[in-house]
Amino acid sequence: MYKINRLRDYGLILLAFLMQVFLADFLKAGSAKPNFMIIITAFFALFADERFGLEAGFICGAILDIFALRLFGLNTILFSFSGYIIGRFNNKIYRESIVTYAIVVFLMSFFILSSYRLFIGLENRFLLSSLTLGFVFSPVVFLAALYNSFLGTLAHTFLSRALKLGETSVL
Amino acid sequence: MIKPKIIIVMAVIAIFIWTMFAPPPFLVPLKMNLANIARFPFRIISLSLNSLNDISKLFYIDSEKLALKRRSFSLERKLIELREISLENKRLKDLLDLRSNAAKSSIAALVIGRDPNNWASVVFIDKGKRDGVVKDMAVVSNQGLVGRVREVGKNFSKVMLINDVDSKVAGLLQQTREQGLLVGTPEGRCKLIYLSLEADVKKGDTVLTSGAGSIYPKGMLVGEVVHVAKERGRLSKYAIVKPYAELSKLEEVLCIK
Repeated sequence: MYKINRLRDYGLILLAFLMQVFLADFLKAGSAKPNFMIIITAFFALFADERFGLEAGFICGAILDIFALRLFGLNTILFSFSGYIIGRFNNKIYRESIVTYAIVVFLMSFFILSSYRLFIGLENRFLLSSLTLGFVFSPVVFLAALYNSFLGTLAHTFLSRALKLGETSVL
Repeated sequence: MIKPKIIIVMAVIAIFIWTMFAPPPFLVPLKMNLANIARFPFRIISLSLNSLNDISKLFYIDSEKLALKRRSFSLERKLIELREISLENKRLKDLLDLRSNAAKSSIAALVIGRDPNNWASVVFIDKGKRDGVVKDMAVVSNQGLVGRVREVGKNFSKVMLINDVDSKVAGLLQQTREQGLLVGTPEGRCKLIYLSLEADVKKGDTVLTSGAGSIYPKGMLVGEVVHVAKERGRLSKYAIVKPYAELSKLEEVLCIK
Protein backbone atom coordinates (compact mmCIF):
# COMPACT_ATOMS: atom_id res chain seq x y z
CA MET A 1 0.00 0.00 0.00
CA TYR A 2 1.26 3.46 -0.90
CA LYS A 3 1.85 5.76 2.06
CA ILE A 4 1.36 9.43 1.30
CA ASN A 5 4.26 11.62 2.38
CA ARG A 6 3.44 15.13 1.19
CA LEU A 7 6.97 16.52 1.47
CA ARG A 8 8.41 13.69 -0.62
CA ASP A 9 5.49 13.59 -3.06
CA TYR A 10 5.47 17.36 -3.63
CA GLY A 11 9.24 17.12 -4.14
CA LEU A 12 8.61 14.54 -6.87
CA ILE A 13 6.06 16.85 -8.49
CA LEU A 14 8.62 19.68 -8.42
CA LEU A 15 11.22 17.37 -9.97
CA ALA A 16 8.75 16.39 -12.71
CA PHE A 17 8.05 20.08 -13.35
CA LEU A 18 11.75 20.93 -13.66
CA MET A 19 12.22 17.97 -16.01
CA GLN A 20 9.28 19.26 -18.04
CA VAL A 21 10.77 22.76 -18.33
CA PHE A 22 14.37 21.78 -19.04
CA LEU A 23 14.30 18.29 -20.55
CA ALA A 24 11.02 17.87 -22.42
CA ASP A 25 12.15 19.83 -25.48
CA PHE A 26 15.41 17.89 -25.72
CA LEU A 27 13.52 14.61 -25.51
CA LYS A 28 11.07 15.58 -28.24
CA ALA A 29 10.51 12.81 -30.79
CA GLY A 30 9.40 14.69 -33.90
CA SER A 31 6.44 16.77 -32.74
CA ALA A 32 5.72 14.46 -29.80
CA LYS A 33 6.78 16.16 -26.57
CA PRO A 34 6.82 14.11 -23.39
CA ASN A 35 4.78 15.27 -20.40
CA PHE A 36 6.29 14.32 -17.04
CA MET A 37 3.43 15.99 -15.17
CA ILE A 38 0.96 13.47 -16.63
CA ILE A 39 3.29 10.60 -15.73
CA ILE A 40 3.63 11.72 -12.09
CA THR A 41 -0.10 12.49 -11.66
CA ALA A 42 -1.01 9.05 -13.04
CA PHE A 43 1.46 7.45 -10.64
CA PHE A 44 0.03 9.12 -7.52
CA ALA A 45 -3.57 8.56 -8.61
CA LEU A 46 -2.90 4.89 -9.31
CA PHE A 47 -1.05 4.11 -6.10
CA ALA A 48 -2.74 6.43 -3.59
CA ASP A 49 -6.49 7.18 -3.57
CA GLU A 50 -8.88 9.49 -5.41
CA ARG A 51 -8.32 12.32 -2.91
CA PHE A 52 -4.58 12.38 -3.41
CA GLY A 53 -5.05 11.78 -7.15
CA LEU A 54 -7.22 14.90 -7.24
CA GLU A 55 -4.74 16.83 -5.08
CA ALA A 56 -1.71 15.85 -7.19
CA GLY A 57 -3.64 16.57 -10.38
CA PHE A 58 -4.72 19.97 -9.07
CA ILE A 59 -1.15 20.94 -8.14
CA CYS A 60 0.37 19.71 -11.42
CA GLY A 61 -2.35 21.41 -13.49
CA ALA A 62 -2.11 24.67 -11.53
CA ILE A 63 1.68 24.83 -11.95
CA LEU A 64 1.31 24.28 -15.69
CA ASP A 65 -1.37 26.98 -15.87
CA ILE A 66 0.79 29.55 -14.06
CA PHE A 67 3.45 29.18 -16.75
CA ALA A 68 1.04 28.95 -19.69
CA LEU A 69 0.11 31.89 -21.90
CA ARG A 70 -3.44 30.86 -22.62
CA LEU A 71 -6.47 28.96 -21.30
CA PHE A 72 -5.75 29.55 -17.62
CA GLY A 73 -7.40 26.83 -15.57
CA LEU A 74 -7.80 24.20 -18.27
CA ASN A 75 -4.82 22.13 -17.13
CA THR A 76 -6.07 22.36 -13.54
CA ILE A 77 -9.49 20.99 -14.52
CA LEU A 78 -8.14 18.24 -16.81
CA PHE A 79 -5.42 17.05 -14.44
CA SER A 80 -7.69 17.15 -11.35
CA PHE A 81 -10.43 15.24 -13.17
CA SER A 82 -8.01 12.60 -14.50
CA GLY A 83 -6.32 12.21 -11.10
CA TYR A 84 -9.69 11.76 -9.41
CA ILE A 85 -11.03 9.23 -11.92
CA ILE A 86 -7.86 7.10 -11.90
CA GLY A 87 -7.78 7.19 -8.08
CA ARG A 88 -11.48 6.28 -7.91
CA PHE A 89 -11.08 3.09 -9.89
CA ASN A 90 -7.52 2.09 -9.00
CA ASN A 91 -8.67 -0.78 -6.77
CA LYS A 92 -10.46 -2.39 -9.70
CA ILE A 93 -7.29 -2.83 -11.75
CA TYR A 94 -4.00 -4.61 -11.24
CA ARG A 95 -2.04 -1.45 -10.52
CA GLU A 96 1.30 -3.07 -9.65
CA SER A 97 1.73 -4.13 -13.26
CA ILE A 98 3.87 -1.94 -15.52
CA VAL A 99 1.50 -2.69 -18.42
CA THR A 100 -1.47 -1.34 -16.44
CA TYR A 101 0.47 1.80 -15.62
CA ALA A 102 1.50 2.24 -19.28
CA ILE A 103 -2.15 1.94 -20.38
CA VAL A 104 -3.30 4.42 -17.72
CA VAL A 105 -0.63 6.95 -18.75
CA PHE A 106 -1.57 6.46 -22.40
CA LEU A 107 -5.28 7.05 -21.76
CA MET A 108 -4.68 10.02 -19.48
CA SER A 109 -2.26 11.59 -21.99
CA PHE A 110 -4.69 11.02 -24.85
CA PHE A 111 -7.55 12.59 -22.89
CA ILE A 112 -5.59 15.64 -21.67
CA LEU A 113 -3.71 16.36 -24.90
CA SER A 114 -6.73 16.00 -27.20
CA SER A 115 -8.95 18.07 -24.86
CA TYR A 116 -6.33 20.82 -24.81
CA ARG A 117 -6.20 20.83 -28.61
CA LEU A 118 -9.98 21.11 -28.72
CA PHE A 119 -9.91 24.20 -26.50
CA ILE A 120 -7.00 25.73 -28.47
CA GLY A 121 -9.10 25.26 -31.61
CA LEU A 122 -12.13 26.87 -29.97
CA GLU A 123 -10.12 29.83 -28.71
CA ASN A 124 -8.09 30.54 -31.87
CA ARG A 125 -10.13 31.97 -34.74
CA PHE A 126 -7.56 30.85 -37.34
CA LEU A 127 -7.96 27.25 -36.19
CA LEU A 128 -11.67 27.43 -35.48
CA SER A 129 -12.51 27.35 -39.20
CA SER A 130 -10.54 24.12 -39.63
CA LEU A 131 -11.54 22.52 -36.32
CA THR A 132 -12.22 18.88 -37.12
CA LEU A 133 -11.97 15.54 -35.32
CA GLY A 134 -8.74 15.04 -37.27
CA PHE A 135 -7.32 18.16 -35.63
CA VAL A 136 -8.38 17.20 -32.10
CA PHE A 137 -7.35 13.54 -32.36
CA SER A 138 -4.28 14.27 -34.47
CA PRO A 139 -1.63 11.54 -34.94
CA VAL A 140 0.70 13.77 -32.87
CA VAL A 141 -1.60 13.29 -29.86
CA PHE A 142 -1.45 9.54 -30.35
CA LEU A 143 2.35 9.59 -30.69
CA ALA A 144 2.79 11.85 -27.65
CA ALA A 145 0.52 9.57 -25.58
CA LEU A 146 2.49 6.53 -26.73
CA TYR A 147 5.77 8.27 -25.90
CA ASN A 148 4.45 9.21 -22.43
CA SER A 149 3.41 5.64 -21.75
CA PHE A 150 6.90 4.42 -22.73
CA LEU A 151 8.53 6.99 -20.41
CA GLY A 152 5.92 6.03 -17.82
CA THR A 153 7.20 2.46 -17.73
CA LEU A 154 10.70 3.76 -16.97
CA ALA A 155 9.30 6.09 -14.30
CA HIS A 156 7.26 3.23 -12.81
CA THR A 157 10.33 1.03 -12.53
CA PHE A 158 12.34 3.82 -10.94
CA LEU A 159 9.62 5.10 -8.58
CA SER A 160 8.37 1.71 -7.41
CA ARG A 161 11.94 0.76 -6.50
CA ALA A 162 12.75 4.11 -4.90
CA LEU A 163 9.49 4.14 -2.91
CA LYS A 164 9.65 0.41 -2.20
CA LEU A 165 6.21 -0.37 -3.57
CA GLY A 166 6.83 -4.08 -3.93
CA GLU A 167 7.63 -6.20 -6.91
CA THR A 168 6.78 -4.97 -10.36
CA SER A 169 5.37 -7.44 -12.78
CA VAL A 170 5.19 -7.38 -16.57
CA LEU A 171 1.68 -8.83 -16.60
CA MET B 1 -31.78 17.19 -4.15
CA ILE B 2 -28.35 18.24 -5.47
CA LYS B 3 -25.50 17.66 -3.05
CA PRO B 4 -23.57 20.81 -1.96
CA LYS B 5 -20.31 19.12 -3.04
CA ILE B 6 -21.54 18.90 -6.63
CA ILE B 7 -22.60 22.55 -6.57
CA ILE B 8 -19.13 23.58 -5.36
CA VAL B 9 -17.41 21.48 -8.06
CA MET B 10 -19.68 22.93 -10.75
CA ALA B 11 -19.00 26.48 -9.49
CA VAL B 12 -15.22 25.91 -9.55
CA ILE B 13 -15.40 24.52 -13.11
CA ALA B 14 -17.56 27.48 -14.19
CA ILE B 15 -15.05 29.96 -12.74
CA PHE B 16 -12.19 28.20 -14.52
CA ILE B 17 -14.05 28.22 -17.84
CA TRP B 18 -14.82 31.90 -17.37
CA THR B 19 -11.15 32.77 -16.68
CA MET B 20 -10.10 30.61 -19.66
CA PHE B 21 -12.00 32.56 -22.28
CA ALA B 22 -12.33 35.96 -20.57
CA PRO B 23 -9.33 36.34 -18.26
CA PRO B 24 -9.84 39.07 -15.63
CA PRO B 25 -7.26 41.93 -15.67
CA PHE B 26 -5.63 40.86 -12.39
CA LEU B 27 -4.83 37.39 -13.74
CA VAL B 28 -1.63 38.20 -15.67
CA PRO B 29 0.06 40.16 -12.82
CA LEU B 30 -0.94 37.38 -10.41
CA LYS B 31 0.49 34.67 -12.71
CA MET B 32 3.68 36.65 -13.31
CA ASN B 33 4.22 37.23 -9.58
CA LEU B 34 3.87 33.51 -8.96
CA ALA B 35 6.08 32.62 -11.92
CA ASN B 36 8.67 35.15 -10.72
CA ILE B 37 9.44 32.83 -7.78
CA ALA B 38 10.91 30.38 -10.28
CA ARG B 39 13.19 32.94 -11.91
CA PHE B 40 16.23 32.34 -9.71
CA PRO B 41 16.26 28.49 -9.82
CA PHE B 42 15.45 28.60 -13.55
CA ARG B 43 18.38 30.93 -14.15
CA ILE B 44 20.79 28.72 -12.22
CA ILE B 45 19.64 25.52 -13.93
CA SER B 46 19.69 27.04 -17.41
CA LEU B 47 23.16 28.55 -16.89
CA SER B 48 24.44 25.18 -15.64
CA LEU B 49 22.89 23.38 -18.60
CA ASN B 50 24.34 25.94 -21.04
CA SER B 51 27.80 25.51 -19.49
CA LEU B 52 27.50 21.72 -19.75
CA ASN B 53 26.44 22.09 -23.35
CA ASP B 54 29.44 24.31 -24.08
CA ILE B 55 31.81 21.86 -22.40
CA SER B 56 30.39 18.94 -24.39
CA LYS B 57 30.86 20.96 -27.60
CA LEU B 58 34.52 21.41 -26.75
CA PHE B 59 34.96 17.68 -26.54
CA TYR B 60 32.82 16.43 -29.36
CA ILE B 61 32.81 19.04 -32.09
CA ASP B 62 35.67 20.01 -34.28
CA SER B 63 36.03 23.70 -33.45
CA GLU B 64 37.39 24.68 -36.85
CA LYS B 65 34.42 23.10 -38.62
CA LEU B 66 32.07 24.91 -36.28
CA ALA B 67 33.79 28.24 -36.86
CA LEU B 68 33.64 27.78 -40.64
CA LYS B 69 30.01 26.80 -40.44
CA ARG B 70 29.26 29.92 -38.42
CA ARG B 71 31.23 32.08 -40.84
CA SER B 72 29.43 30.58 -43.81
CA PHE B 73 26.07 31.16 -42.15
CA SER B 74 27.00 34.71 -41.23
CA LEU B 75 28.13 35.45 -44.82
CA GLU B 76 24.98 33.92 -46.21
CA ARG B 77 22.93 36.04 -43.87
CA LYS B 78 24.85 39.16 -44.87
CA LEU B 79 24.23 38.37 -48.52
CA ILE B 80 20.49 38.07 -47.93
CA GLU B 81 20.54 41.30 -45.95
CA LEU B 82 22.50 43.09 -48.68
CA ARG B 83 20.08 41.86 -51.31
CA GLU B 84 17.24 43.14 -49.19
CA ILE B 85 19.00 46.46 -48.66
CA SER B 86 19.64 46.82 -52.37
CA LEU B 87 16.00 46.13 -53.24
CA GLU B 88 14.85 48.45 -50.52
CA ASN B 89 17.26 51.15 -51.62
CA LYS B 90 15.92 51.01 -55.14
CA ARG B 91 12.36 51.36 -53.97
CA LEU B 92 13.19 54.12 -51.56
CA LYS B 93 15.13 56.05 -54.19
CA ASP B 94 12.11 55.81 -56.42
CA LEU B 95 9.95 57.22 -53.72
CA LEU B 96 12.55 59.76 -52.53
CA ASP B 97 11.57 58.87 -49.02
CA LEU B 98 14.52 57.66 -47.03
CA ARG B 99 13.64 56.23 -43.68
CA SER B 100 15.61 54.14 -41.27
CA ASN B 101 14.16 50.93 -39.94
CA ALA B 102 16.75 50.54 -37.25
CA ALA B 103 15.55 49.58 -33.82
CA LYS B 104 15.40 52.39 -31.27
CA SER B 105 16.40 50.42 -28.20
CA SER B 106 17.36 46.87 -27.38
CA ILE B 107 17.65 44.74 -24.24
CA ALA B 108 19.73 41.56 -24.14
CA ALA B 109 18.21 38.68 -22.17
CA LEU B 110 18.98 35.13 -21.24
CA VAL B 111 16.54 32.31 -22.03
CA ILE B 112 15.97 30.62 -18.67
CA GLY B 113 13.20 28.14 -19.41
CA ARG B 114 10.50 26.86 -21.71
CA ASP B 115 6.74 26.56 -21.43
CA PRO B 116 6.05 23.10 -19.98
CA ASN B 117 2.79 22.73 -21.93
CA ASN B 118 2.60 20.45 -24.95
CA TRP B 119 0.98 22.69 -27.53
CA ALA B 120 2.82 25.91 -26.76
CA SER B 121 6.04 27.47 -28.03
CA VAL B 122 6.98 29.95 -25.35
CA VAL B 123 10.28 30.74 -23.64
CA PHE B 124 10.98 32.56 -20.39
CA ILE B 125 13.61 35.32 -20.25
CA ASP B 126 15.34 36.80 -17.23
CA LYS B 127 14.42 40.42 -17.98
CA GLY B 128 11.23 42.26 -17.09
CA LYS B 129 9.68 45.64 -16.30
CA ARG B 130 12.65 46.65 -14.15
CA ASP B 131 14.97 46.25 -17.15
CA GLY B 132 12.69 48.14 -19.51
CA VAL B 133 10.97 45.19 -21.18
CA VAL B 134 7.42 45.98 -22.24
CA LYS B 135 4.64 43.90 -23.76
CA ASP B 136 4.81 43.36 -27.54
CA MET B 137 8.53 44.05 -27.93
CA ALA B 138 9.93 42.07 -30.85
CA VAL B 139 12.49 39.42 -29.86
CA VAL B 140 15.39 38.40 -32.12
CA SER B 141 18.45 36.19 -31.97
CA ASN B 142 21.65 36.54 -34.00
CA GLN B 143 20.03 34.32 -36.65
CA GLY B 144 16.66 35.96 -37.11
CA LEU B 145 13.26 36.74 -35.67
CA VAL B 146 12.30 34.74 -32.57
CA GLY B 147 8.94 36.13 -31.42
CA ARG B 148 7.47 38.79 -29.19
CA VAL B 149 7.05 39.53 -25.49
CA ARG B 150 3.56 38.56 -24.33
CA GLU B 151 3.58 38.76 -20.53
CA VAL B 152 5.92 40.91 -18.43
CA GLY B 153 6.75 40.51 -14.76
CA LYS B 154 9.15 42.48 -12.54
CA ASN B 155 12.25 40.67 -13.78
CA PHE B 156 10.80 37.78 -15.74
CA SER B 157 8.94 37.72 -19.07
CA LYS B 158 7.25 35.22 -21.35
CA VAL B 159 8.16 35.33 -25.03
CA MET B 160 5.77 33.81 -27.55
CA LEU B 161 7.83 32.24 -30.34
CA ILE B 162 6.88 32.66 -34.01
CA ASN B 163 5.88 28.99 -34.25
CA ASP B 164 3.35 29.27 -31.40
CA VAL B 165 -0.27 28.69 -32.30
CA ASP B 166 -1.24 32.26 -31.28
CA SER B 167 1.62 33.96 -33.14
CA LYS B 168 0.85 36.06 -36.21
CA VAL B 169 3.58 37.88 -38.12
CA ALA B 170 3.02 39.91 -41.29
CA GLY B 171 5.47 38.24 -43.68
CA LEU B 172 6.95 39.10 -47.04
CA LEU B 173 8.78 37.01 -49.64
CA GLN B 174 12.05 38.78 -50.37
CA GLN B 175 12.31 37.88 -54.05
CA THR B 176 8.73 38.46 -55.20
CA ARG B 177 7.51 40.92 -52.50
CA GLU B 178 4.43 38.72 -52.10
CA GLN B 179 2.84 39.30 -48.69
CA GLY B 180 1.23 36.78 -46.38
CA LEU B 181 0.56 36.06 -42.73
CA LEU B 182 2.98 33.85 -40.86
CA VAL B 183 1.15 31.78 -38.26
CA GLY B 184 2.25 29.02 -35.92
CA THR B 185 0.71 25.57 -35.61
CA PRO B 186 0.13 23.47 -32.46
CA GLU B 187 2.89 21.15 -33.71
CA GLY B 188 5.36 24.05 -33.65
CA ARG B 189 5.66 24.74 -37.38
CA CYS B 190 5.48 28.10 -39.19
CA LYS B 191 3.00 28.51 -42.01
CA LEU B 192 2.80 31.52 -44.37
CA ILE B 193 -0.88 31.75 -45.30
CA TYR B 194 -3.06 33.94 -47.53
CA LEU B 195 -0.67 33.77 -50.50
CA SER B 196 -2.50 34.33 -53.77
CA LEU B 197 -2.80 31.39 -56.17
CA GLU B 198 -0.72 33.29 -58.73
CA ALA B 199 2.06 33.99 -56.23
CA ASP B 200 5.48 32.86 -57.42
CA VAL B 201 6.64 31.02 -54.30
CA LYS B 202 9.24 28.30 -54.36
CA LYS B 203 11.35 26.25 -52.02
CA GLY B 204 14.31 28.23 -50.72
CA ASP B 205 12.64 31.66 -50.88
CA THR B 206 13.49 33.96 -47.99
CA VAL B 207 10.74 35.28 -45.73
CA LEU B 208 11.10 38.65 -44.01
CA THR B 209 8.81 40.73 -41.84
CA SER B 210 6.72 43.13 -43.90
CA GLY B 211 6.43 45.76 -41.20
CA ALA B 212 2.62 45.73 -41.29
CA GLY B 213 1.33 46.19 -37.78
CA SER B 214 3.41 47.93 -35.15
CA ILE B 215 5.16 45.04 -33.43
CA TYR B 216 7.81 43.72 -35.82
CA PRO B 217 10.10 46.15 -37.67
CA LYS B 218 10.25 45.78 -41.45
CA GLY B 219 12.88 43.63 -43.18
CA MET B 220 13.81 41.28 -40.34
CA LEU B 221 14.93 37.81 -41.35
CA VAL B 222 12.33 35.20 -40.50
CA GLY B 223 13.02 31.98 -42.37
CA GLU B 224 13.14 29.97 -45.56
CA VAL B 225 10.31 28.34 -47.53
CA VAL B 226 10.58 24.55 -47.39
CA HIS B 227 7.23 23.52 -48.86
CA VAL B 228 4.47 25.14 -50.92
CA ALA B 229 0.92 23.85 -51.42
CA LYS B 230 -2.63 24.99 -52.18
CA GLU B 231 -4.98 25.41 -49.22
CA ARG B 232 -7.71 22.79 -49.35
CA GLY B 233 -11.09 24.40 -50.05
CA ARG B 234 -9.65 27.91 -50.31
CA LEU B 235 -8.49 30.19 -53.11
CA SER B 236 -5.02 30.67 -51.70
CA LYS B 237 -1.67 28.98 -51.28
CA TYR B 238 0.42 28.44 -48.18
CA ALA B 239 4.10 27.87 -47.55
CA ILE B 240 5.77 26.02 -44.71
CA VAL B 241 8.61 28.17 -43.41
CA LYS B 242 11.66 26.95 -41.52
CA PRO B 243 12.76 29.76 -39.17
CA TYR B 244 16.40 30.84 -39.42
CA ALA B 245 16.57 31.13 -35.65
CA GLU B 246 16.97 27.74 -33.98
CA LEU B 247 13.91 28.10 -31.78
CA SER B 248 14.58 24.91 -29.84
CA LYS B 249 18.14 25.93 -28.92
CA LEU B 250 17.76 29.55 -27.89
CA GLU B 251 20.19 30.78 -25.25
CA GLU B 252 20.41 34.56 -25.59
CA VAL B 253 17.95 36.90 -27.25
CA LEU B 254 17.51 40.61 -27.86
CA CYS B 255 14.24 42.46 -27.15
CA ILE B 256 13.84 45.40 -29.51
CA LYS B 257 11.41 48.28 -29.74
